[in-house]
Amino acid sequence: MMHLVLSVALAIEVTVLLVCAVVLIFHSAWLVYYRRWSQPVLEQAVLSSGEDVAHLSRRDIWRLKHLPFQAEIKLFSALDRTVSSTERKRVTDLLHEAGLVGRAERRCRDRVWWKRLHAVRLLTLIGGGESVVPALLGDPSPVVRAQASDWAADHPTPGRVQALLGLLDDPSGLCRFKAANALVQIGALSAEPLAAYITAAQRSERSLLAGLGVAEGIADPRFLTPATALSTHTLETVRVGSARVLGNLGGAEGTDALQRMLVDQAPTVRAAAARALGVIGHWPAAPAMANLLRDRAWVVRHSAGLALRALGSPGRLFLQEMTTDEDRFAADMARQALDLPETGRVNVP
Amino acid sequence: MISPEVLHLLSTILIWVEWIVIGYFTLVNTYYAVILVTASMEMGRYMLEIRGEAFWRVLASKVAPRISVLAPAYNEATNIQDSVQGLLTLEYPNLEVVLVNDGSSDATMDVLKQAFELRPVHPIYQKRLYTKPIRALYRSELHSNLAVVDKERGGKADALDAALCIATGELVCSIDADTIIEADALARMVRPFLASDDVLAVGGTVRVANGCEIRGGRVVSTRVSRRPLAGFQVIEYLRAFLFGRLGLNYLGGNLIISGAFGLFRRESVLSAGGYAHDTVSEDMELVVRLRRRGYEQKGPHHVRFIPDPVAWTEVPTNLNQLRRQRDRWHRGLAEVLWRHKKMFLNPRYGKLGMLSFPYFVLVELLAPLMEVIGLAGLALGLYLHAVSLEFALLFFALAYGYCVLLSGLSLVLDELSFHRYERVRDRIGLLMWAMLENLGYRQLTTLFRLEGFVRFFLGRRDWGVMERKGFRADARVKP
Repeated sequence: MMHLVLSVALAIEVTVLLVCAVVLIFHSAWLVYYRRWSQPVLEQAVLSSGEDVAHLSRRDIWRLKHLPFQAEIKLFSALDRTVSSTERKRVTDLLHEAGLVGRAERRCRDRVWWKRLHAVRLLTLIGGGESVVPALLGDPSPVVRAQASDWAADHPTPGRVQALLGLLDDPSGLCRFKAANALVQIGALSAEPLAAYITAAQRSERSLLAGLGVAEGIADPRFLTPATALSTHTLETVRVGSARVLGNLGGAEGTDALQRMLVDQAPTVRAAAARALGVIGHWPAAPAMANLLRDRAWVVRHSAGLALRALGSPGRLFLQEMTTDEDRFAADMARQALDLPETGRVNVP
Repeated sequence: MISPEVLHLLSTILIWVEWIVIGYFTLVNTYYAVILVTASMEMGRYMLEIRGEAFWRVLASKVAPRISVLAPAYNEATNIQDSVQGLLTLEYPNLEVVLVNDGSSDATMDVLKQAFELRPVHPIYQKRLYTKPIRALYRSELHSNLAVVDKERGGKADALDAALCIATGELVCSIDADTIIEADALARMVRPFLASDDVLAVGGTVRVANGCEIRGGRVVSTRVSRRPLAGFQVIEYLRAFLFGRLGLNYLGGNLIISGAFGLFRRESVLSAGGYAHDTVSEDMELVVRLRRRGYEQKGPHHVRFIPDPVAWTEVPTNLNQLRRQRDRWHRGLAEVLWRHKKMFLNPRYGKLGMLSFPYFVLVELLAPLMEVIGLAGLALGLYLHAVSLEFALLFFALAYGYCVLLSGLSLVLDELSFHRYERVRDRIGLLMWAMLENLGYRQLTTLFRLEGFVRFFLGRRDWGVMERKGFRADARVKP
């Protein structure tokens, strides 16, 4: 009996191994085959002159239409990084003519999450999807929502901006990241809605922080008032976020708020405010920042030292004065800050 | 001359031992079968999720978290310039490189100073971890995001701790200085952190660079080495990463992130006290400690392995180096598991304690011991006629055939997912190495691991020396 069991098990092993060998050899052959005929087709489209779509043979169009969906994704994602915008338009027109865009749009309504995902991904690569993709910003699957955010970044409208703002409070971190990324990429069009978003009451900490992160990336003057208002928020993390935004904006209102934050009870807020004033180059704050070199928290002393260094001559004067301060921690940090090289913003998180 | 009674007793004991070995064999292969299924499911799901994703978009992101790459280096004068150049050209928007010269006795610092125009600066960092004294801190005039720490020799863990104190990134990527990370690896590895706040660490795939063509600090052509030792190790690494670690994602997660390539939350590592200095497996010990703290303090505790970020490393090409390496790995495994033995079959630690930790104890740690007992028992059984030759051959074929099967399926997983080895002869070569692996090489590594096991009990703590041939620009890594 044992012999029989062992023999059967061995036979199964050998069979599976043979299957593995077949897959290893022939999978590659298939990849080589589709790459060999598809590459020239796309190159012809990319290199064609004038505004007309390249005239491809019926056979080539048929083959493009019947390319497996996964192969389409591979092909066009490889193309995505290498073509210019004009070449991309030619390829997109070609793919419309071949019916690939229509097929992808139909797949956006599929019941299977990964089919919807790949469809949106393909539409992000090749264009199209205006009628179906926006709805996927509310898809049950977080990866589909995240991909739809990427698409929305390339096709911004006020309605899509609002949907992206809604995703800043998404339970999925990937969605929040993609939405934030998309809003930064959209830029000025999202400034007004974002300013209203972070001003609105009863926002969760998570959504406020995400919103402030986007505001920091866009750095639009319309964020000045809401960021200043948030500089007195009850949550420490929000005050830090607002300091970072104000550091990108400057202005009298902003610098006043930042100087008030230099005496905040939380060390991270004081540090963020000092850092922001250094970024702005607001030298009138130098005396207050010099005083921060005596702060009990290392992170505050560190930020103040770097900020003074960033102020140039006024900051250096204060640093040099502090090197002889009776507080040895302040003196040490001042000496270290003075010793930094001219190039780059070193050690600034 | 042995008396019949003694002979009978020996045979009985032998049969009992063999049944225990068969029981162990069944348990181990059941684990492997489960891991194979979970690895395939995980790979399938993951590839569906990332296929066609434009990772390059993160390059333009202003909200991507800052990553500090921590690279300890000891006597790496041959490799160091290419390695650092490769790190500085990684495709990630918010990157810092912290290289630590851990008291090298060769020209490592001279090479760095010349190649990157280093300028000494007064060290300005918060010493949150104890390390051997730092002699100097340098910044590069050419690359503002490169910091070089020159310190007294303290070992890899000490060097990593020093780098942790200097680093400013929210995430830190620990690597070996001679590891080549693929350009888009960090953009891929950051994904799990973006997806969940509960992720502590992420590991990627380490592949064997021997035989590959390296140009400008990048692997430009993937080849399989013609040399048996390196070829066998390609199979081992593929099996370990694409089968073992991927499968463990479902079964409580990994206990190991390769020290050659892992991404961690910096604050979590600092809060846990950094790397342990009193173990030869500081990478595994850190991961286990982080996860344990996560469970005990009800904080983040997930460690994920994702297969698509890749780092390349040079593997030993002679038996002495291989022996020292495997000895050290197994000793380290034993040390860490013993240190954290409280977690074994402890429901407080969830799937980690009930599935993943027992796997490492029963399968990874005890395997060489049971294998040697099994083989010795089989040989003795044949000599005493307690076991028939036919049965012995069948069992041997089945056991090692199963290993070949796992290797073959790992190769298929790799081919269908990543298609790294483009040449047919390379894939055939890999299959051949998979089949030959169990005819001598596997037995050797089993002995080396057993040696490590014994040395653990004897209290040995040394690392041994790994001789590097180096990744010269425009050169093929010697097969």
